[in-house]
Amino acid sequence: MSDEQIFLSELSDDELVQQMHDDLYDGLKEEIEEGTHILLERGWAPYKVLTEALVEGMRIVGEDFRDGILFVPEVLLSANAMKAGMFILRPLLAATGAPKQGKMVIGTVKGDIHDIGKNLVGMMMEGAGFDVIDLGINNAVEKYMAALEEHQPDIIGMSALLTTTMPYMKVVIDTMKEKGIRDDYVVLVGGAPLNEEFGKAVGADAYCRDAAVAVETAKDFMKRRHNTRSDR
Amino acid sequence: MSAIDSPATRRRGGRTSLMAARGAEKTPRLSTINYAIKPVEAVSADQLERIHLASLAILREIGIDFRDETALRQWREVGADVRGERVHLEPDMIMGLISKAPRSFELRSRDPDQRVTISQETLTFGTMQGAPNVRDVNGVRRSSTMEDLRDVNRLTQMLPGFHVAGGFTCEPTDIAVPWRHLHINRSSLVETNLPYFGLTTGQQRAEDSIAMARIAYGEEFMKSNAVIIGQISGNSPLVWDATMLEGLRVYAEANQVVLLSPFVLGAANTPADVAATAAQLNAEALAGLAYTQLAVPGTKMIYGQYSVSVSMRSGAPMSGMPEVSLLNVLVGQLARRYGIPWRTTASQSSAKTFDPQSGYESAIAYMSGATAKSNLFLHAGGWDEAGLVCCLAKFVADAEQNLLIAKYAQGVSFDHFDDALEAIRRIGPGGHYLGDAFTLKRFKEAFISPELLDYLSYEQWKAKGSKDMAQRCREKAKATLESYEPPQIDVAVREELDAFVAKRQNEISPSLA
Repeated sequence: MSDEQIFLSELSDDELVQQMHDDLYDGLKEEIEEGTHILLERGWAPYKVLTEALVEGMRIVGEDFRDGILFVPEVLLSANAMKAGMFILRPLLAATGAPKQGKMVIGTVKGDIHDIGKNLVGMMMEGAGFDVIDLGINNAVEKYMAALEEHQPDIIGMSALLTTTMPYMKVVIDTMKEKGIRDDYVVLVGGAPLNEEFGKAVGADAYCRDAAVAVETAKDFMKRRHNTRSDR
Repeated sequence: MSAIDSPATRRRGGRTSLMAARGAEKTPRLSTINYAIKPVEAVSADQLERIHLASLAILREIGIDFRDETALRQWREVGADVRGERVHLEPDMIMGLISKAPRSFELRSRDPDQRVTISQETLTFGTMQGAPNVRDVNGVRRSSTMEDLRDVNRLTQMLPGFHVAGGFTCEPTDIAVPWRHLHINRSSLVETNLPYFGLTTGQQRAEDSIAMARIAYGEEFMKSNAVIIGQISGNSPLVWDATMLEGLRVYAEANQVVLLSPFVLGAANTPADVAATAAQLNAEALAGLAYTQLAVPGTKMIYGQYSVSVSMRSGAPMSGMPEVSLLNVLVGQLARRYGIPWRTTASQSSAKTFDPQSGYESAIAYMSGATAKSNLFLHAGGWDEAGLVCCLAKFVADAEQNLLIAKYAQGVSFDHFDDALEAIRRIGPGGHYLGDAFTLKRFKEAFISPELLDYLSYEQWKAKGSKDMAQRCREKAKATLESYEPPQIDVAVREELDAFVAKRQNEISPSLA
């Protein structure tokens, strides 16, 4: 494969989309940028490029990560290529009023500075087409609240590595309840010492055991939100 | 991306290609492992010299029994002080004989590309030996049969973690004892293509073993190449038996390898003292090694030892004990003093099942051998119940551990040091390396990723059936046997081996059929 030259512009639409799935899989940023431009030039709607070329490609990546075929560094490379495609599409999507994948505010909770897992989730979410606002580490409830107000996300993600800091997730969720905004957001929690029971106990919508699950769960919630919205 | 990622070869073919590549990815069989770590030392040079001198004093003043007429005659011929079976040896004679041993030699396989060097700078893995029972792929413990031995040989052939097949890994108890060695050798040669242990218990069995090796490898080839090892066990304290010495001479005369192993049951057949046990063990080894060079100068040999301590509660052997680890380190120091490759007992346990005791004892035995820079890790596959059972689950687990130990032994590489330092500059404080080009390039080789040890999250582990290590390993053993591919062997060679077995069975005792 690698020794034969492929000219993306000479491929049919179907072939090009297939090639972009492969290129995403191989984490090829420049090739994804080129493919995205070609599809747009051929008159594809930005939303169609996003869903059929990029999101579908990343779905395959996510599946193979979950099944232990792809490794973390490879997935991050794919996510990076996806982000490059998104960078081109984002202003066009906004201009055309296309439905969004969703927006997420994410951060580690107060007292916790361990952010590898959170970063991984952030990159995977971006790779899946989400807008991610990363609040970084050691976030007090006020910071989460300010971010919700400023960015109006669909999802809030909280992460902790320590058993001593993970109860703080409940503080954030309780504050959301007090303000009457809890149900406006999907709350996802994660981190090594957490489990499903803990997620339920603090009042989160879901516990996500790893980055791949976080993306699947987020997509699933977004589908339901879109459904409820269109029902309105 | 950086210069690391050349655009010319960027496309890898996406999922289809990667799936095919990952599916076909097979860990290659270990080749010669060259040590790049410094060995630990338990005693100072002065203390080591005290042990060495004590060993020489034991051999000169107490003497050692050679219960074998030929050996006694040979010792007398070179002027040793022989009184009955007791041989008193002068230090100069011992050290002079030992200096004739090669410091490095090669073991050959039927695969011409598979050559293993044995020296003080290399590491080699062989499976366990001598179990009368197996714990099979269903976890059932029972007397082992010929089919079980064939299975462990099949596993040895398929798993990448072994250099040497054990030969008599488990006993085929369904075959009459006088015929058994023939079938054991046949299986080593047919089910594997690796160098292997032959039988040494007496003249005839040793000769049959060599004869069968010659059928497979050719007599001419074996004149200048070693393919088979004879394990010669001492009878501690201070005895070498006729049975073993007969076997020793057969292997040495055929230019094959001998492994001389004093048999230490600490505090039972040695003093209740680590340093003095080492002195006695070393005296026994030195006498055996010197005799080997007397019998056939230049013989390829390995300084052996089987060491356990003995429970004073029951008399049972105990492995993984700190005293045994210290003995390992002492033998390593002594063997290096003499310039002879040496053997440790890699993965031994007294546990009845493949349980935490089995894991602890084996892990300690492995690491003590590796840090002491042992050159042949024997019993690195299957050993539980103090050697009375060959556990197939542990066999595959050990095979994986061998890969980990091999990685450790090869030490710290500086091949990518400068590139890696560049990555530190790129990432800086507070970032992470998971998506960095250097990580992407190096992660597979830089950090080993075992298959049988479990690193899933609790939820994933539960979703995959909540399997413990033993269960995962039983399944791996089963799957490996199902995917077994026999090595190449000429039909004519195979027929000649079968004819030899039939002929010798008939000569030994046709009535056993």
